[in-house]
Amino acid sequence: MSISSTRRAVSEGILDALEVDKSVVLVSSDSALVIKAQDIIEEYPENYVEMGISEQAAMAASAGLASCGLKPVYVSYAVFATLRACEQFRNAVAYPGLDVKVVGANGGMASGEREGVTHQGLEDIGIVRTIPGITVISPSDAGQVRKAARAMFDIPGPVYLRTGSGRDPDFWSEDTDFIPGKTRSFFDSGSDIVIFAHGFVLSQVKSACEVLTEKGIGVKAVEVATIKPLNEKEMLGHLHGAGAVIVVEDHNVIGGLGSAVTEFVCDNCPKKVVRMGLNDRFSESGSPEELYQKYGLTEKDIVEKAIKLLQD
Amino acid sequence: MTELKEMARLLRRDVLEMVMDIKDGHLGPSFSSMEILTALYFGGVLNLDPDNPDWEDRDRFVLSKGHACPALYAALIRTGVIPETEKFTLRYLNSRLQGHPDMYKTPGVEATTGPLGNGLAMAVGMAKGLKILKKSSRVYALTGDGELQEGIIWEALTAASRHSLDNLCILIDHNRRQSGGLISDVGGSMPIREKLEAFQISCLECDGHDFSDLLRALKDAESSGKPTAVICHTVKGKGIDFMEDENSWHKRVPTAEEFEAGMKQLEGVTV
Repeated sequence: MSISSTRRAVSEGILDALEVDKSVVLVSSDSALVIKAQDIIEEYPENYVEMGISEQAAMAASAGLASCGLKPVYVSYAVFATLRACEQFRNAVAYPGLDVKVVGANGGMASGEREGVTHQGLEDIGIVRTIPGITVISPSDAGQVRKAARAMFDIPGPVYLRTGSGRDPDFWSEDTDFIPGKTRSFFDSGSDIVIFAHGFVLSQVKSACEVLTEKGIGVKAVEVATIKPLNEKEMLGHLHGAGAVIVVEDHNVIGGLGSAVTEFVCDNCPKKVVRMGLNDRFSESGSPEELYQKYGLTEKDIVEKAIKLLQD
Repeated sequence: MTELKEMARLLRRDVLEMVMDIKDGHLGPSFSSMEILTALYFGGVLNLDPDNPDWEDRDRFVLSKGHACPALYAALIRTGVIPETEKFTLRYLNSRLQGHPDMYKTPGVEATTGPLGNGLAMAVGMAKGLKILKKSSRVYALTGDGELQEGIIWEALTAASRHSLDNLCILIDHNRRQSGGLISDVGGSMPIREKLEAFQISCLECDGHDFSDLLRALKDAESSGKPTAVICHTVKGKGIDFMEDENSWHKRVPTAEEFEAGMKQLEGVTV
C-alpha cells in the first residue's frame, strides 16, 4: 500500500485555490509547517498570516479577516481547532456564518500516531457537527484531501476539513474527483449489510467486504466524506433494501458519522445500526496498525462484527 | 463639545428607556462607555457612511465588551443606521437588537461579540485584513478592563504587535469594576499600562468622560506608528448618581421610582 501526506495535500489544495483567487489567506498558529506550507509562504507572503501559538485568537482573527471579504483558511490540529478554539469557532465564525475554512490535522487516533491522546482528534467531528452551519468534510487519502481543500473555497460559509498525520494510506486512484456532498460506493456484492465509512479506514473496510463476500454475505460499502450535511437522497438510496448497517470510523462512536447515520436511519428507515470506532474511551501512542488492532478497527474486527450482526 | 455632551445625555436617556422597557440589560457598563462611543460616532473619529453601512473603505468599530450593546444600539439609532422604530425591540423575540451584538442581523454592527476577549482578536484580524487589502481604514476595539483577564486578549495583543498593526486602536473602558465587584477584589487586571507596554503596545491615557481629553488621545493614537491602546479612566454607571460606582448596577433593572429619578437626572443637564 502506498503512503502519501494528507497534510501536504492541504497545502497543495490551498495553492490550487490561490492560483485563481488571491483573497485566500492562510492563517497559522505556528501550524503552517504542519501542512508543509513553505510554498505558500514563499510564493504568497501577503496571503499568509502567522498568529503565533494562539489557537483562540487565530480562529477569531480568521473571523475578522473574513469580515473584510478575505477567504481565510485556519490550519491547526483537529483537537485544538475544535476543542481549544471551539467557542470562537461557534460564536465568532459559525454564528455569523463567516466564510472561514478550518483544517484539523491529526484527525483520529491513527493520524495522531505516536503523539498520544493529547494530539489526537477523537471527538472533532462530533463537536463541529453539533454547531449549526458548519460543513464537515473528511476525505480518505491525499489525492482526495487536495481536491477537497481546493473545493471547500467554493462552499459558502464555514467548513471543517479533517486531515491526517502526513503518512496516510492512498485509496483512490489519482484521477478520482472529489465533489462535496456526494457519497461514493466502493464495494457492492449485495444488500445484507451496508457499511458507511470515512477517512483512513476505507482500505480495511474494503478488504473486510471481500472476506464477507467470500463467505456468501452480500455487502455494500459507501464512503461518506461529507458528513454534514448528509446527502439524504443518496443515503436513502444506499439504505434501500439493506438488511443492517455498520458505520466504521476513526473517531469516538459518539458524535461522528456513526451518530449521524443512526440519527438519519431512525428518522427515515429504522433498522439495526452498529457503530464501530473508538468505544467512548481515550486511545494512546502507537503505530496506526497497533492502534487499530488494540481498539478494534481491523479488517478482522469488521468481519466479526458483520457476522455477529447477521446472527443476532 | 457642548453638542457631544448633549448627545451623550440623549444616548444615556435612550439606554435607560430601552433597558427599562425590556427590564433587562447592562446599564452600568453602557454608561461608563457612553462618552467613548459618542466621541467615536459623533466626534468625527469614525469614517462611516450612514447611508451605506457596508462601505468597504469605512473604519471599523468592534464592541468587544459586547454586553454594553444598548449604548452601541442607541448610537447606531441616532446615526440613522438602525431605524428609530426599532428602539424598543432590544432583547425581544424577532428583534435585530440581540442581547449581545450580532453582525449578521444588525446593520452597523461590525462583529458578533459578547464572549469576552473575542472582539479584540477579531479586530486584530480586521486590521490585518485591511492592510492585506491595502486599505487605509482604521479599526477601533472597545474592551472592558475586567475583560483583560481573558487569555485571548494577550494572544491578540501579541499578534497585533508582531504584525505592527498601527491601524488598530484599542480603547479600554477602565471603570475598575467587573461583574463580581472591584477588579482588585475579583480577577485582577493591574497594572494595565505596564502590561500593555510589555506587549509593545503604545499607551495613552485619558479621562473617558471628558471629550476634549478623549478626542486628543484618539488623535494622538493615529500617529503613534504602533498598535495603540487608549486607557480611558471611567466610572461605572456614570451619569446617574445612585448608579455610579455601585456594582449592583452591572446588570440591574431600575424600579419605577429609580427610573423616574434617573430620567430626571438626565433631563437637559449635561454630565
